[in-house]
Amino acid sequence: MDALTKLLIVEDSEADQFIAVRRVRRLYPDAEILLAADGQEAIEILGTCRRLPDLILLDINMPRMDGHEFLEHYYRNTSREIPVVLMLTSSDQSEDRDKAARFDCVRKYIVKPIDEKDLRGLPIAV
Amino acid sequence: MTTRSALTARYGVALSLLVCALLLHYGLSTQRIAEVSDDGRLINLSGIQRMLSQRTALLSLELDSTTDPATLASRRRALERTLDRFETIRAELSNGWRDRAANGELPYAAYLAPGGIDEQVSDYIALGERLLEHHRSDAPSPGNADASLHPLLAQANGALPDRLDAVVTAYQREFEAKVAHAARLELLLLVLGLMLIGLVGLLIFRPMASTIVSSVESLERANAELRAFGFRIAHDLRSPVCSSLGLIEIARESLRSGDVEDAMEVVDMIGTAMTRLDDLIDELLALERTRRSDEVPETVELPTLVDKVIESIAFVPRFERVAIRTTVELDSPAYVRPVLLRQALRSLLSNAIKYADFNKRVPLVEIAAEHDDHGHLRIAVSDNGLGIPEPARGELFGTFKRFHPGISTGSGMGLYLVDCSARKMGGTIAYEPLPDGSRFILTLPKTPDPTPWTLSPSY
Repeated sequence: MDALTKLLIVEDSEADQFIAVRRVRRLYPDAEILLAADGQEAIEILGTCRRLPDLILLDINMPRMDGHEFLEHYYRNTSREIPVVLMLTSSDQSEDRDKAARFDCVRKYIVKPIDEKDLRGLPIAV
Repeated sequence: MTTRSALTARYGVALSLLVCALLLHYGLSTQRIAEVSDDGRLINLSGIQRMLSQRTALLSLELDSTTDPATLASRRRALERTLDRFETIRAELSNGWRDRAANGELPYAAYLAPGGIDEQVSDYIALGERLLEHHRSDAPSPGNADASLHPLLAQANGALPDRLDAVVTAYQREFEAKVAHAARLELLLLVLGLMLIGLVGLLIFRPMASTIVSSVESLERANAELRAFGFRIAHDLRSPVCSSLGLIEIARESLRSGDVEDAMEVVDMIGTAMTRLDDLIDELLALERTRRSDEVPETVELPTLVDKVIESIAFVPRFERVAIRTTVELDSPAYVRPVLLRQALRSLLSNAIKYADFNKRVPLVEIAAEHDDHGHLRIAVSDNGLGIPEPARGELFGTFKRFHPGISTGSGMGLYLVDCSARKMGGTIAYEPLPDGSRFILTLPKTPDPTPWTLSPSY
């Protein structure tokens, strides 16, 4: 658990971003938190990171580039190792789950609102 | 409805063509059957005539050679009946020949000519009659034959049978020729029938099938879109509710730990999420209203209508920081569906404010209305805002489209709603990128169709 020192939250809803930050802070007060409002911004942020985050909390429905598109794009275009990803959604749809399951970095599928227990005992190394 | 009437018309044409073909075939067949049965009767009659000629000769010989009064009487009656029948058939055949000769058919004219078969048969019957007359007396002596017996026998043994045979053969040939002709005609009708069926299939049933297939496909597509729309709506309705549940939990924790200020901040966020939910529900209701709208056009004062729209969006955050200019230059009053037009303009204007560029010195929105060269009402809403990113322009008027992450939390339904309203009014909405902002152009017909618009399949 101590290993989680840096994470990226990709979420367009201000409220959900706020909730995620609060939940993470409570469990990992010292972790560095990066915020992106959609997949494209997440890619830009990851591109400038010297050290990649240990974990990405990734929303599915976002404008411009959604969660699935982000994963596809990142897989195709990066040579770097890919952090563990937790998918966030407000409606549990099998179609979304199946799409996400194609990526081995996706370790969990969380239906909002995110809870502390969702963030406990995370496998943070790929 | 159009599809249905087109299909019915095609179906009707196809069935009529097939019924016509069957009736034509029936008519021609009936005619042929009548001809063939007439020919058959004539062949039969000419055969009987030939048989009677021989019977006449035979009875004449017997009559001449018997002395027994009973036999004599019986042969006389038999010859009398034979000659009567012979004459009846001759008259009937002769009538038939006359008709055919009148039509110029060979060899029937020759049959009736002097020295022809008709004359010869008449002579033959006359000889028979004379012989019969001679034997009317009860006891003529045998061998005392009348002078008519020899010429009669001479004819019976001479050319008469051959000539009568020739008549039978002529009829037979004619009949065979007609049968061959009928067979050819039947084949031709079969070919024509098959071609007709081919044409009906190609020009009528194939387009019918493709119409049906494309109707079913478009229904399936519409159904799939509707289901996707339903899923998406459910998701978007749930999203602010989920956020609020999470925020309520955080507010509770803050209150428990006595941090009222933090709780207030969280409650404000719950308020924002609920407003978003409310906006989405409003837009869904507006969409439904647009779909069901049976509004009829009326003459309106456009500047007043535009002012009312501007008033109605005053609640949009940062409304007061955007300058709104209106230019209405119409050469005649506007004839529009006011509720739908207000709805479309409200969406366009509130978008222009939500996505205004507040880094500009004066964030600006301009509404300009005019009649174009074709007399169409053209309302342009231009701004110097954030604009639409190039890749997103193609899908601008689709459902759930948002292009500015982190700027505004719209439902992504606004422009879809504008497009629906525009189409419902019989007009169009177009996007034009400006070097420094966006322009949306709503074009409406000069004289809108006064009847309410019905749902079109693509809507």
